[in-house]
Amino acid sequence: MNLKYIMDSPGLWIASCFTVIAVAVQSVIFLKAALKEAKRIKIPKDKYVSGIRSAIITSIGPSLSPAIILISLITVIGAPTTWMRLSDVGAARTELSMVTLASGLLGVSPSSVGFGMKAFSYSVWGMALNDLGWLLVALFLTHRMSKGVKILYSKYDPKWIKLLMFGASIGLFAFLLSSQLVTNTGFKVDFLVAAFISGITMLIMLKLFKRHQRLKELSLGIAMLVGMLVTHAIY
Amino acid sequence: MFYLEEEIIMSKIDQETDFNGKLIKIGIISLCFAIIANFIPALYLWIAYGVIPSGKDILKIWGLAAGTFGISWIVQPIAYYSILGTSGTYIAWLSGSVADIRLPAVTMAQEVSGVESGTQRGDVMSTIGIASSVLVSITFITIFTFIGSEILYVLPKFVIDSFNKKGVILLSSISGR
Repeated sequence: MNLKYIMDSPGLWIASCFTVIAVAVQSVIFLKAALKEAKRIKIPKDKYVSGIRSAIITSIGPSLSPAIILISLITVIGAPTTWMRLSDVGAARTELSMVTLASGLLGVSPSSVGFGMKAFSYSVWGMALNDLGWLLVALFLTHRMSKGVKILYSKYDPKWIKLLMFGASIGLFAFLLSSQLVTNTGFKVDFLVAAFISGITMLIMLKLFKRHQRLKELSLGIAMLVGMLVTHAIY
Repeated sequence: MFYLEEEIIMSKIDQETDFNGKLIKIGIISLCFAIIANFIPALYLWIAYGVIPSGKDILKIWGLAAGTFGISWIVQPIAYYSILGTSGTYIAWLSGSVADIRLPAVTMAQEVSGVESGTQRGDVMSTIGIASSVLVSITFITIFTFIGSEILYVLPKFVIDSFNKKGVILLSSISGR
């Protein structure tokens, strides 16, 4: 039995498509419900349409970047599994390390000669069990958090709770940024430069484009490009 | 103007329950379906080819996953909740790429429509932003999977290199806001 053939077999394509369908259908249903709600609470149409446009433009750039690791994943676990696993939770690096961990139980490493049918099955289970963690936590905690926030809003001054939520958001971004800057290998100066350049570009553009809605929608995408290219030119 | 409206909306908290309740229902149903779908390929390999890890090994694999990523499973959905909102959380933790794609999409959707995160308007715009961004990423991943490595030969090497700095740039741009 040829493993490469099984990895790309029509059966596995079909077995993998359910997750991708779930992700796509879920988004469409939520989008419809949210648009309906936006109309009900009277968010002006031009506001939410420009929100959609901006979200789409902003997500194009980062959506391109998995392309490189996608290729290496395809060579290890085949196209259908890669397609499914990159469409759902778990970054490509996470999936790859699960493949390594699971097949490591059998004493083989990915893309080695020893990586056979059994190792592939272990890997598929590994990725499924890992993604299950996030799905279960989201399943059991989300409505409880929603309830919790609602209680906070009704019990305390909504203004303060709004600030509290905003503070939590800033803290999150600060954590994400600093964990990119300081890694196990030390402080990354070029990353800091990139952060500064794109951050400042973003600030300037938001000020400049204050009255130009269409340009404002592009600002995060442009800030990313400027940060990437200028930093690359310097280093 | 927006602030005033926001406060009126806040006082009508009962009306929200309906919307939130409906979205929670959709979220729970879709996640249950996704959890089943998540195991279909693994079960397919078992049914079609008779290959499956032993029960003990499945537990071992789960232990490895929990040991490596268990903290992220729990901490991440809680930490990102204030930005993603209720329905956003349901979508984002199924589709993934939360820090690098969903957060920027939410931030921009809220920014250009002039709403604040953590409020009901914020939640609605966050849902709209995340759902749109998921459709974009699914499209790209599907295209990339099918055309495979072809596209990489088209891009100049320095564009590919600069992708390595993507994470940091994204985050600082958002923080800049």
